[in-house]
Amino acid sequence: MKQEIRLKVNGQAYTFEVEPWQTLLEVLRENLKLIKTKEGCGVGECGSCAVIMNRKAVNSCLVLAVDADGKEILTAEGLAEDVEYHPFNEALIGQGSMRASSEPPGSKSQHEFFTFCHVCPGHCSVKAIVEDGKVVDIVPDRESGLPNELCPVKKGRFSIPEVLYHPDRLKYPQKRVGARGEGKWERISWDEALNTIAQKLLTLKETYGPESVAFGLGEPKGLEFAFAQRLASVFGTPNVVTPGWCCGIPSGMASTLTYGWNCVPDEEHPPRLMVLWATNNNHTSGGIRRETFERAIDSGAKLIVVDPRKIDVASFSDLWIRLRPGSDGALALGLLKVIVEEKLYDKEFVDGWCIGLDALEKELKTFSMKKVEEVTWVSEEKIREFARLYASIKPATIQWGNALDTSTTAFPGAKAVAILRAITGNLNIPGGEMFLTPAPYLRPGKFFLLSKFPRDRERAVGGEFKLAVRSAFIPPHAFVNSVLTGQPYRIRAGLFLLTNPILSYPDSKKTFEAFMKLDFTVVSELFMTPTAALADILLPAAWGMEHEELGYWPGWYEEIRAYPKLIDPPGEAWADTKWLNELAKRLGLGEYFWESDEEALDDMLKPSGFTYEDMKRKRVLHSKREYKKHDYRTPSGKVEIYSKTASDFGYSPLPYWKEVSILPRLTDEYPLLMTNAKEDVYMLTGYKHVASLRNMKPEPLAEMHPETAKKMGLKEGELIYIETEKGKIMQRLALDDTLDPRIVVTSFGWWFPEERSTLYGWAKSNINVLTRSEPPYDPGIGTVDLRGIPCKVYSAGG
Amino acid sequence: MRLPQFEYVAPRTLNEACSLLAEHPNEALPLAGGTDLLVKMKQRRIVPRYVVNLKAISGMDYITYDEKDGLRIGALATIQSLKNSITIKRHCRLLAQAAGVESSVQIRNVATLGGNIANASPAADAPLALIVLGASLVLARSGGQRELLLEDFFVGPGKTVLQSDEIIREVHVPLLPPRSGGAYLKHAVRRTDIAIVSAAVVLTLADDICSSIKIGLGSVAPTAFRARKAEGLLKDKKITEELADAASQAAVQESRPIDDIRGYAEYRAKTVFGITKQAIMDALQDARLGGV
Repeated sequence: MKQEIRLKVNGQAYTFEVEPWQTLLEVLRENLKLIKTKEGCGVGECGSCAVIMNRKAVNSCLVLAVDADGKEILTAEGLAEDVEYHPFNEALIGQGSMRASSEPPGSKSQHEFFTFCHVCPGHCSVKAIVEDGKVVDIVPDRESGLPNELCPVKKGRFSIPEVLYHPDRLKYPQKRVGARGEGKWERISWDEALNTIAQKLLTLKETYGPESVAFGLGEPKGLEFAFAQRLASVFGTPNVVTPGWCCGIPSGMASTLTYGWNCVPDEEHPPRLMVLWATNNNHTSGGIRRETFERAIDSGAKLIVVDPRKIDVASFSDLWIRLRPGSDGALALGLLKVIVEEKLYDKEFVDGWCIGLDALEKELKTFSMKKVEEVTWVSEEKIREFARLYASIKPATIQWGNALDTSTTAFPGAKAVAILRAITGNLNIPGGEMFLTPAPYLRPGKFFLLSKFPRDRERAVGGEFKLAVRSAFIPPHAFVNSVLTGQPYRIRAGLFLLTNPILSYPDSKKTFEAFMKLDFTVVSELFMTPTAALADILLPAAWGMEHEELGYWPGWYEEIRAYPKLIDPPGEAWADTKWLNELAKRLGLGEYFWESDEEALDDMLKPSGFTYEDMKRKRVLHSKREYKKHDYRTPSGKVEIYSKTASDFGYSPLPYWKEVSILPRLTDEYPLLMTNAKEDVYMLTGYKHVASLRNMKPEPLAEMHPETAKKMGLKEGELIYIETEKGKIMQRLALDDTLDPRIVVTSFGWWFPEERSTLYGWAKSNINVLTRSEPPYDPGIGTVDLRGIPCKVYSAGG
Repeated sequence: MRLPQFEYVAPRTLNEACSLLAEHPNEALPLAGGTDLLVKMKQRRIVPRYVVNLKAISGMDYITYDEKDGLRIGALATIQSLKNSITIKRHCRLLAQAAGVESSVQIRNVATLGGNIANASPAADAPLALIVLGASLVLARSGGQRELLLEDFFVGPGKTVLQSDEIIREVHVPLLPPRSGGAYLKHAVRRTDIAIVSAAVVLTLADDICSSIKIGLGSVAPTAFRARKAEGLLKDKKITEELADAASQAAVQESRPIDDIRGYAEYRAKTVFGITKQAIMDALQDARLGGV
């Protein structure tokens, strides 16, 4: 039953009606739109929600709104003028309360080093505090003028000191003795490890061809990804699995094939309208950094949020579009229909600079808005409102997120979004969508030596995915199928770094079988993981801050940063670049590599005229931001609504309704759609060992609508099974009445480092047990539905 | 993360609160500061049907001291108020120290002593100090109350002898004899973290003989507990380095640490030795210099 509360916030009196379970944080953000107070962990650990209540600091995420009745609240907005972000956090920084050291601050001599957090691609600028040769804290770098607002949950700050010194860090190369997965290892020297690997690879190359060796890579942190790609190229294998198949490439390529570049929102001039599509720019720093986002909101920008969940940015948005998971392409086409048919587009721009409007108009006539409503679960009225609002305000940007890429309809969907950006006239204008000129460093493609050693589609497994192979990767299911079925031939060995395929490849059971079947597996890791446990040779990886590094990722910023070495790695841990470099030499490929891997750092920077030493002081080379009028690097020199090049890659030249509207059907047996959202606390599948993070989110939660739960006889807090045709997993049930009753939002990437006997519980709560590796696939990249999958849910009896 | 939904009541008296708990057995939980309960609710580990907010009950956050009776603290006193209280700093400094190293200021401003005790984490700081201070609890229920020693209150991690219709009303710390000293040591990664190992010692000297001693250990057993064998080695003796070593070794034997996300059992066991010894020697020094 709602209660009335009266409180003062930043000097002003308010009266609200609140539910007893609402927190003060929710009132501040949702009712008052005071967005500088943020939800990080939600459980009082990170301090991002701190406010002053009756002159006492409190975590507003743990204060019931009813307990704020009669109180006076001060938030960041009330504490200081013109703050970039929460000044309260600064005070806590000063107290040293988050330092990972039992000595009080100031008792030992400490040094500060400028660097960037290396945990996620946001790469916030930080100062690392080193005491006695140990990194004890990282704090936002407020001095350099670079984006520095840490994610509210502060996962870098919590995890970096803990991972660097974690007792479970792998320290020595090991080789498997005993059966695969048995957990019996023998410590070996790097020499033995590298010689073994080289010998194995050369034998396989000779017997079966270099393509019998695959590489599995994760998201680039420094140059290790580039080294591995380069080695794959010169070794002669086209079989390199990277996350590109479900992240970044579909949307990026759809943009590139539409206007010739990828684009990011302008950070110099605030947009007057932002669409956050499948992204929460409170937690994720993609495209728009947190500071830019907040400045835009402060300056009055309108906000449209597209998300099946009422994420917090949705709470203070002007319009929240709660769509069916996986229907993003259909929604985008629906928006195009409104904008084109109501003539809301920038006519001058479209007439002068776009080709294919006629074809698009024709396509848009083949379906009705009623149909769009049916497919997307969004009312026609809301879709029209979205379209009209978006088209009527300039400059406007659409910031996309990962969910657009995790579907078989990713490419046409993303192309539809790209067309939206173009026809509303938002390309390359101040406050709009920027085409950035990369900073002058060696292009990754060049580093991979792709022109000298092009990836051979004919020889690759998954060679039918032309755009993938052209982007220097293959989808994971091609690798898995090859190992299991021997089609088109059998891959026999794999080298894996930056990755945990047992958790992150679709169809974990098949992935596991493939790993058990490989002749030879090398894994480089920080910790023992379900994938590392299946290695034949296990290598200890050095991490960020433990070696000199350059980071050029994420690609969309087109910049390059220096990550200086601050401390020594534990034991005999080597940077991946180091062992890849050494391996290359032992494979007889040393002419394409360096005497020492560190030499590559200077080479990477050659086009800029700077050395790596220079870069350590310079810290970052930025992309160039120019409002280049009408510079579209497409074959026609114009924006290609209709792209012939797309059809060269197996795609339709423009998004077709029949492509984006065929979505998995709900059945009586599988009546719910499973989707998932980014785990705010963890970085993908990693860091389940980190105490401070695991404290915040100790186990995987799945969210459902209370009515649905009631119908199924399920109680909040109980353990439930989520099951598809592929298998079943267990997570704990949380109820959320803001969700569509037809979905269940699961938690991604869960395994349990403490459950040694079941190979770290890789099959217990891992949502990739539920996903498939069989067709249908996106034709050009091989993407598969990872969200919006029909499932059923029932009690696990606990 | 939002809280699960619940029925909310805010009684104005303790008696009313106890009655409400009795009315809804196994379905109602009392809410004090909320820094433990609301967290568990957000994580969906506890989903009570009724939440009984105790904060509308006035007059339960007192801190009083009497020269004969000692210290009495109302269960709704915040941990920060314990840290800041001049009364506690003067008469029971060990408690102020332990309260002061609990978590962060934001948590301490809201967390209550009663909640801290009822949550029964073996790692909790103020409760550990209170055990070695010989504290007892007053537990209220509808129409009555009972008292018991805090050291007898905990039965397992998160488990106490509190009945479902009982609420902690007060904590009583009896007077310590003159020439008593104490020490509280906490080993954690961060200032605001939960302890990996913690130790609290209170001892009394008669001349230079240790006439009584309590050694409390946190985070290394299912509950915070007194290492009685260790105590036995020092009682009625003059404490030397060698004896302190022996007692600390006994403390290691009495501990039952586990592997968990914060540390390995082996590491904790090793740490118990050092931290116990340090606490004993610090408490000894403190007693010699004027005390708790």
